[in-house]
Amino acid sequence: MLKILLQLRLRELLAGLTKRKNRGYAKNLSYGAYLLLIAGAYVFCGYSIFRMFSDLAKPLASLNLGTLYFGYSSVIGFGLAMIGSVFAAQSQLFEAKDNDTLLSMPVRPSAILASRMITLYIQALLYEALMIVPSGLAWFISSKSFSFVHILNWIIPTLFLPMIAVTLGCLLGWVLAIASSHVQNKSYLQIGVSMVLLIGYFALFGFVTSEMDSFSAGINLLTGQTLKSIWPAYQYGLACMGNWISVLNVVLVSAIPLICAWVLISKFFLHVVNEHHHVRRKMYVEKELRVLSVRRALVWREKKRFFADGSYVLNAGLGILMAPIMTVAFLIFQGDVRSFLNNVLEIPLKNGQFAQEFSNATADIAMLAVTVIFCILTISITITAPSLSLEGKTIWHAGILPVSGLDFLLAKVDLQMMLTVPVFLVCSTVFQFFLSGSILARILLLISPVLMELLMALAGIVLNVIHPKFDWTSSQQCIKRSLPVTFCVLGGLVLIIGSAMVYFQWVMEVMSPTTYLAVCTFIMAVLCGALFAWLRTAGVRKLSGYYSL
Amino acid sequence: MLNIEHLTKRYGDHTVVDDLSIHIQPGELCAFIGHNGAGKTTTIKSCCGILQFDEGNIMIDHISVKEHPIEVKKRIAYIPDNPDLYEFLTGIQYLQFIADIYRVPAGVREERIHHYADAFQLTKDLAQRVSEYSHGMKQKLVMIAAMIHEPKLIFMDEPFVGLDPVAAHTLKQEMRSFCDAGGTIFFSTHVLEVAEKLCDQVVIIRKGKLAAFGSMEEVKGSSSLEDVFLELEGEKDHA
Repeated sequence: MLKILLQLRLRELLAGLTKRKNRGYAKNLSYGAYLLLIAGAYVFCGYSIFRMFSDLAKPLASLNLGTLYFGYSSVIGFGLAMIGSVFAAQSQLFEAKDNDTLLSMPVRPSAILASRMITLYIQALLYEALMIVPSGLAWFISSKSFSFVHILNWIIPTLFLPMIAVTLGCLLGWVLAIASSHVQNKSYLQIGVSMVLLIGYFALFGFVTSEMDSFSAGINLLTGQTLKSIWPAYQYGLACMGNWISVLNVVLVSAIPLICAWVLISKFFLHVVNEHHHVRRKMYVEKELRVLSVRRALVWREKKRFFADGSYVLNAGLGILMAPIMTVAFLIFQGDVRSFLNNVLEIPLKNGQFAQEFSNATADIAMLAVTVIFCILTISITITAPSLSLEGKTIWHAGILPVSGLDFLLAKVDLQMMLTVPVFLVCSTVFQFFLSGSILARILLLISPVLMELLMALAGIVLNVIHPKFDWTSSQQCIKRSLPVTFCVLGGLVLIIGSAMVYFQWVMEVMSPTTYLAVCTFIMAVLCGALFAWLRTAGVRKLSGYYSL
Repeated sequence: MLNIEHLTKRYGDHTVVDDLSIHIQPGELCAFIGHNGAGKTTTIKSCCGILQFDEGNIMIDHISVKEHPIEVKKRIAYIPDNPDLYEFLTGIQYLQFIADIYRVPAGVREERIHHYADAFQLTKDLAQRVSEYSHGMKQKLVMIAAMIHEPKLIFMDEPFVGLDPVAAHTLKQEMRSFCDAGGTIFFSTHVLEVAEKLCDQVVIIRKGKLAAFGSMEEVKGSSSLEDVFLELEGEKDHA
C-alpha cells in the first residue's frame, strides 16, 4: 500500500516535467530547457555557498574547529528546510485534494501520512543539501581529509538531519491547519506566520555568520557554548568529525521524534481534515451594492485572488517590500553607502575607463546605482507569471463573459502595476531628495524601474499564455514550480546582467552610464511594445483555445 | 433567436458535431437531448463562443457568434453542468462581479439579486465564500448570476444535476416565467420527464447528427419522449 501511495506522490511531483507525445516538439523543448535551468540554478547556488564556506573553512580547519563549523552550517541548513517544510506540510498533509478519495478507500490514515511525510522528507533533504553539501565539500577540501570513514561520518547524519525539520514542520503545519479552520481569512494567518519564520531565519543566519566570523578571527571562543545548547547541531558537528556515538545520537534524535509525530498525527488525521466548518457562518445583510466599470471589476477580481492566497502573496509579491526596506536602510546608513560607492567607483575613473563626458558627472553614479537596484528588485515580483494558470477550471468565465481576451489578460498586468508602481515612485522620489544627479539621471530613476516592472508584467503574462497549467492540485505548482515564473525571473536576470556586461566590456569607453541607461530604458519600452502587440494578436488567439479546457 | 446552420466540429479525425442545423424562436423553451458523447456540450459551447467550430454559422439574435462574439455574449448566459466558480469570493461578491461585467445598473442589480436569491433560497448564504458552498449551492449561485443581466437567451448544460427537489421545482418555474416573458432557453438534459412537461421544442442529437427536431407534440406524438428517444437509438442500431 505504501509503495502505491509513494508512486502516486512521485508521479504528481514529476507531472508536467516528463515528455508527452501529444505536447509538441516546441513545448517539450521548453520543458527540457526548464529542467536544465532548475538544475543550473541549483548548481549556481550550491557553488556560491561553496565559495562562501571555503573562506570560513580554511581558518577553522587550521584551528581544528570542525565541530563548530559543521554544527553551525547544520543550523542554517535546518532553517532553510524549516521554511520550506511548514507550509508544504500544511497543504500536502491536511489540505490535499485527494484526502476524501483516499480516506473513502481501504487505506489507513497512517499509510497516507507516511507517503506524504516521505515526500516532505525528500523536499527537506533537497533544501538542506543546498547548504550542507557545499559546506561539507568546502571543509573536506580545506582540511584535506577525504577518507571513506570521514565521508561516511558526514553522509549518515546528513541523511537523518532533515527529519527534524520535517517533524517540526508537520507539527507546526498541524497547528496551522487547526488555526486556519477557525479564521475566515486564512491567507493573512499564512502571511503572518511566514513573515515571522523569514525574520527568524535571517536573524539565525546573521547570528551564525557573526559567530563563524568571530571564530575565524580567534575572538571569543567561549561563544562555542552557544552551539552546545543547540544539542542536535552540536552532536551533528561531533558526528562529522568522527564521533560514532554522536552519529548514533543524531540518528536517534532525528528518527524517533519523526516516528512519534507520525503516530500522533495519524491518530488525529481524520479529525483535522474534516475540521473546516468551525468558522462562524456570516449572515448576509442587505446593503447598497457598489458598481465598478468592466475594467475595474476585472482588476478587483485579480486583487481578490491575489490576497486570498498567502503563498501567492509571499512568493510573487514579497519583492514589493524590498524597495521601501532598501530606502529606509539607505536613510539610516547613508554615510556607509556613500563611502562604499566612492571607493568602488573611483577605480574606473582613476584608470580613465569611463567615457570622457562621464568623468565630469560623478554625481550620477549613486542615482544610477539605485535605478539599477530597483530594476533588479522588479525581477522578484512575478504576479502575472502564474496568473493565467491560477484561473484553473474557472477559465470558462473568460470564454463566456462579454469581455475581450485582451482586457482579460491586461487586468492581470494592471494588478501588478497597481501594486508596484506607487511604491517605486515614492521610493524613487525619496532618493531624489537625498542624492544629486543630472536631469537625465533623475528622470531615469523615476521611469526605468516602472518600465522594467511593466516589461516583467507583460513578459510574465505572455509566458503564461504560452505555457499555462490549468490542472493543478495545489496553487504552489503554478506559483513556485512553474515554467513561466522560472523563465520570467531568469529572463529578467539575463537582461540586466547581460546589459551590464555589454556596457563594461564594449561600451564604457564611448558612452557614459547615464546615456547607456537611457538607451536601455528605450529598448525596454520597445520590448514592452512588442510584447503588448503579441498579446493583442497571437496571445488573444491562444487564450481563446483554452476556454473549453 | 438561435439559428445554427450546418454546424460541424471536429477533433482531429473525429467529427463530434456533423452538419447540425437548428432554429429556435424567441420565447421558446427547447430541450436538447442525446446520449453521452452525442455532441450536446460541444454544440452548446460552440453557441456560447467558448469553442471554435470548423464549419457552419451560428447566429444569435441575428448576430454572428464568429464575427461579433462580444456582442453575442452580452445577450446570452451560460450555465455549465459542473460550475467551477471563484472560490476566493463570497456569493454576493461573485454576483457583483458578474453584474459589473454585464454593466447591470446599481438599483436594478440589487432588486434582481435579491429576487433570485430569495427564489433559490440562497440569500442567507451570500456572505459565505464559494469554497464553503455545496455543489447544489454553486449551481444555484451560477443560475442567479446567469439571470441578473436578463439575457435574451440562456444556455444550460444539464441544469438539474445536484439540485434538491425544491430548487429543481423553483428552476422549472423560473425557466417557464423567463420564456413566457419572451426569453429563450436552450438546455441539455437527461431527465426526459422534465423536458416533456416543460418544453415547447425538443432537439434530439445522435452521434453528432440531428435525429429529430420540432415541437414536443410533433416529435413525440402520442408516445412518451423516452419511447421516441429509445426508438431512435434502437432504430439506428438495427439498421
